[in-house]
Amino acid sequence: MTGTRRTDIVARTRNHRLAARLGGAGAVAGVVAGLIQLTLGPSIPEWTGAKSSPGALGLLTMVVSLLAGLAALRQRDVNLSTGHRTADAAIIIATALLCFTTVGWLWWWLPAPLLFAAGSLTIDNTHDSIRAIRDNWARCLLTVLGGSEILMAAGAGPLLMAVGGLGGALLVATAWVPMTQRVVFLGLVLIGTVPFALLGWTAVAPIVVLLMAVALALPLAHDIPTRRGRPSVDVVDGPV
Amino acid sequence: MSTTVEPTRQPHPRSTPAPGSSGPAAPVTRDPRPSRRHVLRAFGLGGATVVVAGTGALSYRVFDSGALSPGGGHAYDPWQQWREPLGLVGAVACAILAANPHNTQPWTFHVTDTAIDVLADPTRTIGTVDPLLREQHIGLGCAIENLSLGCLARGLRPTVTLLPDGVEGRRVAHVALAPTFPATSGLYDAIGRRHTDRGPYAGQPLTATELAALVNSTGLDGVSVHWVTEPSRKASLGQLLVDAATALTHDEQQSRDSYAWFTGTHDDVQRKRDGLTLDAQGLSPLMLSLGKLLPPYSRAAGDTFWVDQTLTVQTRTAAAYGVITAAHAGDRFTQLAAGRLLQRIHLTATDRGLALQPMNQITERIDRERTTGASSTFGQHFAALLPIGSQPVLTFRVGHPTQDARPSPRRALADVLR
Repeated sequence: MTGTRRTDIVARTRNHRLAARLGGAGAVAGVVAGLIQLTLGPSIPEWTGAKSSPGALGLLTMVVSLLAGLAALRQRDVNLSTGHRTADAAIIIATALLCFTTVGWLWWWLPAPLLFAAGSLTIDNTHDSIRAIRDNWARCLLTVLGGSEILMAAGAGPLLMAVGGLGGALLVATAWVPMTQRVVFLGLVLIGTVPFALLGWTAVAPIVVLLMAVALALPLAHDIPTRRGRPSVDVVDGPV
Repeated sequence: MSTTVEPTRQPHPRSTPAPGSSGPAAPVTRDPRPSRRHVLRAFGLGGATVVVAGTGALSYRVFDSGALSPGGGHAYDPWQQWREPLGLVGAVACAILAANPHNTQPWTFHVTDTAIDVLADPTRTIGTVDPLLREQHIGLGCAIENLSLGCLARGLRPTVTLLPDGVEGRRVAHVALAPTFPATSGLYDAIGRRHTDRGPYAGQPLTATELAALVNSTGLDGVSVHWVTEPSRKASLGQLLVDAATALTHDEQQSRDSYAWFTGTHDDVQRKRDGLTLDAQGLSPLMLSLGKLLPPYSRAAGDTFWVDQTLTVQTRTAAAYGVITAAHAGDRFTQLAAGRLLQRIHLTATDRGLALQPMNQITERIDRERTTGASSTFGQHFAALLPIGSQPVLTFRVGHPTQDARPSPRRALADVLR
């Protein structure tokens, strides 16, 4: 191992540890912000964004902050692949962005800067990260759709909030958890999107999320190996 | 020619290896040019990326506009919590749910141990739309009626004295209270369900008996209801309402003063908790959502929408019009009594599953013509539809609803108690 490479690895490890610390602190600050929104939101609307559902939004902030915290703490694992670090960075930065809309000014003072810094430090190799994203672009889009569903649910009434929150989370998980059966994969995508689309069809966007999720899921399902042991790819890609 | 079928795309990196596959695939010589499948896939993903980005932006708009929570949030809490407060403050919780012009909520309340004073808030007017404060006093009359019902339900017998300081005083009513047995009624139970229904009504007509049963003017001297049900007279009044709406939108200052009370965004509704909202415009669920997703209405678009709704929905589907009339429509006592009568009629209609919408554009134009010295166009035309010697105080339409009317935001109790 050359000296330069060793220095590089040490620097990356240091960055990952710093990302874990910053992300952990940002997550704790996020949970506190969510707790304040949950308990004192209506009393200090100028700080909490005068939200119509402070209780639900406070809870949502706490949950996504915890997820971001877990993603940050995973950075201490030196064996974590570039793809996983990229996914963690996406979770941390998405949380940092989403919560601007949930707890108002409470998000600006500490959680947002800490999480943005942690997310940036998590990505240690831009080239590899970009390649990981490119190779899983359809899954990334599916994740964005899940996030969109969660965002819409955050501003909805209690029933839609529960259905959309769970459905969006299921869609995100389905995009990344390894599947062995196409039917299960497609079924989970439908379970994650159809109930929310049925309940919130008047807003149009839930219908678009459903249609796009299905459109993206079909080719992804096609890549899942069949029970007979071979992906059903039927194109001869050049002479052998 | 023998070929080996190899996947052109890699399976998911963490997916279970296919049973039977014994190891890495043999090296394959690939054509460096991208295959048609690759190109199509790249285009497909590119297109999907654009659509998903658009969906993300639309989702934010859904979140920001509250499109999935019509009638939700703290601005609407008073509609859920009006039964809970006890005593005199509880009666005020009923009063603030009363009908009022442009949802200006032109009231404040001063509560003592044994009485409640109802005061007009001089800052909450609709300017040239209500230049003589006719509608403001009608709204205050509506609040007095709800206040009385709320007192009775809480074991407080109200004795209402209108304008105790004279017509120029800020107190519009002094309500003295004495203990009695709590008494609720259908009207009291309807307080939280009464909403102005600006949507289409079913075609089914209302009989004279049904209409008469809506009116109870006990204790309200000087006001009566004139029903317009005969088709030709109904059509004439409908046309007059459309003409008045059109004239009002063509009057620059009236249009501006009316638009000033339009609360366009979800955040403003939750913050200001007053004014006219999209939620309360009687739109279908789909149209309401689309209206919220689009940018807020401009004044011109709002004017066009109102005239169009008046023409194509409100006048076209009204089962009947009611006009509360009096010998002297400009008298403050009469206006307060007319407000109390309107509130009773609306609560009774709600109790019986009927829809109602005040439509005041004709009287707004009459008052505007009077204050500007213009020739009395609308006054003369309206008088021709009413009994001789009676003057119109306010107009409304009734009918069978086709959808649930949605509530308007209301300020919190703490904001109206002095």
